[in-house]
Amino acid sequence: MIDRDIRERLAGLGVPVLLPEQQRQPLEWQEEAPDGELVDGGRTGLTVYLEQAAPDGYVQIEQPLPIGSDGLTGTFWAAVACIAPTPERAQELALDVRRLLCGWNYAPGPYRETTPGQPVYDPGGFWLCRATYEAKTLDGQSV
Amino acid sequence: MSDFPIIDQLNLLNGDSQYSKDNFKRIGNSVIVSPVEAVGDLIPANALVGLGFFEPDAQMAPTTDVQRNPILVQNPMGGPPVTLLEDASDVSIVYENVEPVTADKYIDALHLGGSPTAVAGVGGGTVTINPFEPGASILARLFVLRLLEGAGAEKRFELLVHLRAAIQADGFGEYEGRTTRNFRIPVQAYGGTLTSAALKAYAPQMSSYGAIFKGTVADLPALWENLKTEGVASAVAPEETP
Repeated sequence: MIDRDIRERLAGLGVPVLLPEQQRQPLEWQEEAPDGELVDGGRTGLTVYLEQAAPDGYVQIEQPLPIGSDGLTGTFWAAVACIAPTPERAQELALDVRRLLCGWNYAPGPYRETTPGQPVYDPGGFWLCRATYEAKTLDGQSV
Repeated sequence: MSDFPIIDQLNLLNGDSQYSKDNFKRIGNSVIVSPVEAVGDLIPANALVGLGFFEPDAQMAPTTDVQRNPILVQNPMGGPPVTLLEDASDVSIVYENVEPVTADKYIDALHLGGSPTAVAGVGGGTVTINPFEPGASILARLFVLRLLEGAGAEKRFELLVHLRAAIQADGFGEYEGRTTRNFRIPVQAYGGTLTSAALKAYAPQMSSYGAIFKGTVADLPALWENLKTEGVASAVAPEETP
């Protein structure tokens, strides 16, 4: 599956890499005390998650969208969002993701960037850098 | 195993692997040239110069133009003559449209046909001059490194080695609104053979036009060490006649 394949390739990043079905986890994060216990009446939400579980940011893989098929190869576009407390860190994470998925011009990986991303500020108090990558399947199997 | 039984019944040598998705991989190209003689002061003889980025779908494959003449014989069953075989009479191999998009001063010097000469005494000394020679041709060794998609120990490379080729400027191109330098590189026949200790046993495996090496990238540095010195100018010294 494409989202699992992307997660496997990004495993070495050293930050949490979340699958599409885990999208709500940061939003539902509850503040934890240093010993790991939940704080009664503590803060919740993404900024607390960033503070406590992902100080270096995290990567959210979005559900790959089917774009088309010619009968043999299927084309999917998978967006990967890098969320971090600063724009520099969001961009740095996004460049690392790009390198791991797409490789280099002269040594390419299986993915190809289709929509580039730049860090964008979200009023929730964090920076988001979201790029879209093209994934192909051959005869119904992920390549 | 193919689900459609007829393919299995044909007992093909590559019945499964012919369809394998592991063979549907992307390839990246690097082109490295090594002028046989020094290009002015900028590029010493046999120095290795890389040509940088190419457009995403550029295929660094040579255009091979083979002239073939059919040899016709009488048809034993009567009727028009039949082709016995085709005879190749003329072969030319040219890398057309080698178009680096990020040409630095070294690539630019190859495109101009020579190193720029600094013009002293005009302003602050940044001005250079080159003769305008559209027909210039720089004799060089040509290496085309193709890296196949893959990770870790199994990542494979293909290395096309042409020990003599001519680097010719072919005007300017355009990529995303930016100017690129266009090269046309015809491959020439090379009269020498492989001479390095590790490779000379394989000299018969190289044709006059070159050879193709393949392997995993872990072995590429060792191969490159040997290839760096193959076909350099000093290796093709004329034989002394007594």
